[in-house]
Amino acid sequence: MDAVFLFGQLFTGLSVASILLLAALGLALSFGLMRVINMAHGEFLMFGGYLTYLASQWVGPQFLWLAFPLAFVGSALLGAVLEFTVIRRLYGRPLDTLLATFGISLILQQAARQIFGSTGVPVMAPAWLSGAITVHGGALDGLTFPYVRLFVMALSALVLIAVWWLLNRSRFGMHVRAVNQNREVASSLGVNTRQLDMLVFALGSGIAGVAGAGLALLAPVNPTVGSAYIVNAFLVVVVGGVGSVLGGAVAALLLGCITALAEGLTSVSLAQAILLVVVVAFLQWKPRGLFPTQSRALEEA
Amino acid sequence: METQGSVSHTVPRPGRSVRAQSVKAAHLGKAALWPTLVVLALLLAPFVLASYPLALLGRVLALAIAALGASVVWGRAGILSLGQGLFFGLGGYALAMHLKLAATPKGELPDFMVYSGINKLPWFWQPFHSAPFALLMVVVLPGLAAYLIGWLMFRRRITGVFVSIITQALVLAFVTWLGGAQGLTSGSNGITDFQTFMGLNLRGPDFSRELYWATLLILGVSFAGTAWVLNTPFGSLLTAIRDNENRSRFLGYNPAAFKVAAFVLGGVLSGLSGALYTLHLGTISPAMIGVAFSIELVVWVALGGRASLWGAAGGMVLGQLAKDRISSAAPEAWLYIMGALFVLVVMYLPEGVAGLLKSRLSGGAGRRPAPLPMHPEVKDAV
Amino acid sequence: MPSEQTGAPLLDVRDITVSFDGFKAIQNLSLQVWPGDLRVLIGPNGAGKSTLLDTIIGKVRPASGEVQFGGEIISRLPEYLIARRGICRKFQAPGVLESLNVRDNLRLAVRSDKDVFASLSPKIRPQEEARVNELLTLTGLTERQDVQAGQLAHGEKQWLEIGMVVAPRPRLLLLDEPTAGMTAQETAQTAELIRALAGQHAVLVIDHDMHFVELLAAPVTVLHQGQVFREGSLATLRDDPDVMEIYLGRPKEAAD
Repeated sequence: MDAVFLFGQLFTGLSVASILLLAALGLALSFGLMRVINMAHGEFLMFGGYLTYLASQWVGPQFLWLAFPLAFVGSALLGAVLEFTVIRRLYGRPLDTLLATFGISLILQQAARQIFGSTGVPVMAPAWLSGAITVHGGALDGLTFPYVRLFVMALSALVLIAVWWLLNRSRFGMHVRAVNQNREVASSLGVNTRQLDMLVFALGSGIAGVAGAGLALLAPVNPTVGSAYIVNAFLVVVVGGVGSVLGGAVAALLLGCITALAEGLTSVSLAQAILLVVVVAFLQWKPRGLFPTQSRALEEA
Repeated sequence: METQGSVSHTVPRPGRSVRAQSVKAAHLGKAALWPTLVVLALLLAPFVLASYPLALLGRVLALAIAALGASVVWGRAGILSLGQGLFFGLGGYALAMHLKLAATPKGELPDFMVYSGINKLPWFWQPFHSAPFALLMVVVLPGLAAYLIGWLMFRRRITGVFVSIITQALVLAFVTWLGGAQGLTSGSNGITDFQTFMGLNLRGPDFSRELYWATLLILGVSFAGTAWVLNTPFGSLLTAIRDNENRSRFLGYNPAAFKVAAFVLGGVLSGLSGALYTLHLGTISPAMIGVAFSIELVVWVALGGRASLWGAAGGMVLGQLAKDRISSAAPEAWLYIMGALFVLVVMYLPEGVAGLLKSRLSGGAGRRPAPLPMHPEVKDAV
Repeated sequence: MPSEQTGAPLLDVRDITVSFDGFKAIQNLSLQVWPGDLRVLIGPNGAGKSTLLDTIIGKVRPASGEVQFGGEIISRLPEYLIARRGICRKFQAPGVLESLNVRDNLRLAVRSDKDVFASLSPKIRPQEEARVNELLTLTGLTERQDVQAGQLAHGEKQWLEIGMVVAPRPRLLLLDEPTAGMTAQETAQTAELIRALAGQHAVLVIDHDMHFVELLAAPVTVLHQGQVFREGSLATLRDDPDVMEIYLGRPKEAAD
C-alpha cells in the first residue's frame, strides 16, 4: 500500500468524519437532553443541502454567505416545528419517538422526491474553493488536499468550537447542563425545560442543516442523502457516549477514519460491515461509550 | 417505576368479581367468535379467490409469521429491533441458494457467478445442494445469528434505543455486503429464476395453491407455538424483565438469557417467514429485506397491536394488503400515508387496534390489560 | 434478638472500598451478619447505606476488599447468581412487576428453577402454589391476588415486594427503607412482620424512621461517611453525643 493512497484515504475519511460529526452533534444534543432519538435527523441534513442548492440558484456563484445561514435557520425552524408537534407529545417514550420520527423522515423524503426529483441536484462550489494543495516531492509526492474538503473540515471545527462555547460558557449552556443532570431540580430552580427542549432540538437540527450545506459542496444532494448518513451518525453517538459532545467528536473522527481505511483496503460494501463489527466489539469493552455520563441517580429503579 | 401509562383502568370495587365473571364469559364468547371467523375465511379462501388475490394473500400470510416474531421481541420483551430483516433475509437466502442450485444444470455454476467470472462454487454454497440442509438452515442461520447478536448486546446490558440503532446498522451492513458481493450473492439483483423445489414445479399450475396451504399451515403452527410459549412462565418472565429488569435480576433470573431466548424465537420466526416469502415471490434481493422492510414490519405490528399475536399478525396482513392496493393506485401518495401512519399510530394508538378493541370489549377491566406504553429503558439506558 | 456471635458469619463484608468517579462512597468498611440476625443500619444521607447494599448484591463492585457469603466470595459473581445464593433485596422504590398480577409476581419469586428452559414448562409445582398462598396470607394480599401490581396502592406494593423477596426463603434479607410512604399503622405491622422473619432469615434493614427502628428492637449500626461509626442498641446511640452531632441540624424523622 503506498503512502500517498493511504494518506489520501485518511484525508477523505477526515472530511467525511467532519460531516458525520456535525450530524452526530445534533443527535447527541437532543439525546442527552431529552433521551430522544430523531430518525428524521438525516432529513434535516438533506433539507440544509437543498436550501444550499436553492441559495446557489438564487444568488449565483457567491452563494455561500447566504447558504449557511439559510441552511441553519431553515433546518432549525423545521426542527422546532417537529419538536412542538410530535416529539414533546411523546416525552418519556423513546422507542415510540423513534418510530414517529421515522414516519416524518419518510414524508420529508417523499416531499423532496416530488419537488426536486429523485436524482441528485448538483451544487457548484464557488471558484475560490475549486483548487487543491498538492504535495510536491518527498514520500508523499502527488498527494492532494482539495480546498473544498479543507473548507468543510474547517467549518465543522468552527461549529464544534461554537457549540462547546455555548454549552460550557453561556447561560443557555448552563441550563442545558442543569437539565441534563436533573430535569426536575432544574425545573424547580426556574429553568423553562420545555422551551429549552425546543431550543436544543432546533439547535441540533440547525447544525444538521449546516452539515447538509457542507455536504452539498462535496456531492450532489438527493432525497436519500440523509438516510445514507444517519445510521453512521447514530453509531457515532453510541460510541461517543450518550450526550457527550467531546465523545461524539472523537467517535466521529475514529469511525470516519476506520471507514475510509476499510474502504481503501477492501470495498465500500465490506467497509460498512467492518465498521459495524468494530463498533459492536467496542461496545463489549465499553458498553456506555467513550465518555459515559455516570450518575447513581440514573441507575436507580 | 411509577405508572405512566395512558391506559386508564377502573379501580376495582367490592362486589365486582361476580359481575366481572359474567363480563368475562361474554367477552370470551365474543373473543372466540372473531378468530374462528378469520380461520374459516382463510381456509375457504383458495376456493373463492382468483389466482392473483390468493397469491397476494399467501404472500402476506407468510409475512405475518415475521410479525409474530416482532410481537414476541417487541410486544412482550420490549426490545425494539429494527433489524428483523436480517433474520428474514438469512432464512430467505438460505432457501434461495438451494433453489438456485436446483435450477442450475449439473456441473454448471449459477448464471450470476458465471457473469462475475467465478469458476468454482464457493464453499458455503456447496452444502445447499441438499434440500434438507437448506430447510434446516432456514431456521438455524437466523436463530444462530440472533443468538450471537442478542448475546453480544444483552450480556453488556445494551438496551432501548441502542438496541434499535445497532440492529438497524446490522441490517444495513448485511444488505450493503449482499449488494456488493456480486459473485457470491448475485448482488443487488438478488437471486432469482427458480424452477423446482423438492420435485415440485414452482411454475406449475397447482403450485400457488399448494404454497398457500403450506403457508397457512406453517403460520398456524407458528401462531399456536408462539402463543403456547408466551403462556408458560417464560412469557410472564419476559413481561417481568420488560417491566423491571433489576427486580427480575435480583430475584435470581438472568435477564440477558431470557432476552436472548426471545430474540432467537423472533429471529427463527423471521427466517421462516423470509423463506416462505422467497417461495411466494420467486426471488429474494437486498432491497426486500433492508432497513425499510425492517421498520415497516414494526409499524404494521404497532398498528395491529404489538402486545397481541392476533394484533401483530392482523396488522401485518391488513397493512400489506392496503399497501398492495394503494401503492399500485397512487404510488406517490403511499409514502405519505405510510409516514403519517407511523406518526398517528404512535401518538394516538400506542396499543394498536388490538389494544383498542380489547379495552372496548372489556370496558378496560380485562384480566390482563395491555402493557403500559412507558418503556423502562428511559432509566435503564443511561 | 438472639445473635449467636460464635461460629462463622453468614455475611462477611471485608474491608471494602467503593468509589464513584474518585468519590469514595464506602471506605474500608467491614461488617458481619450471623445467621438469623436482625440488624439495622442508620446514618445520615450519603453515609453509604444504599451503596453498601448495592455492593452486597453485586450491583456495585468494590474497588478493594471482598464480600463473603456463607464462606464463599460473592463479590465477583453476576448479580443473578448472588441472588440465587440466597440474598434478596427490597429496593427503596417499590420494585414490583407492574403488568403482572399480584399472584404472578409471587409465583415468579417463588420458582426454584430460574433457568430459561425450565421456565418453558407450564407445570406449577403444588408446593410452590402452597407457598404463594402462604405469602398472600402473610402480606394480606389474598383478596388482591388478581389485581395488576401496577394498580396497587403504594403500601400494598411495598408489602408485595416484601413478599417477593421473602418468597425464595433467602438466607439474608436486605430491606431498604421498607416503610417509606407507609402509614403509622402499616409501619407497626411491617415491624412486626420483620421481627417474625428474623430467626428464619438474617435481616439487614436500612431506615430513617427512628420510631420504626425502635419497634424493631435490634442492634443498630451507624454509618457515617462510608465507614462504620458506632454499633450498639438504639438507646445507647441516642445518648451518644457523637451520633447526635452527625445528625445535627436535621430532625430525625425528616432525614429522607
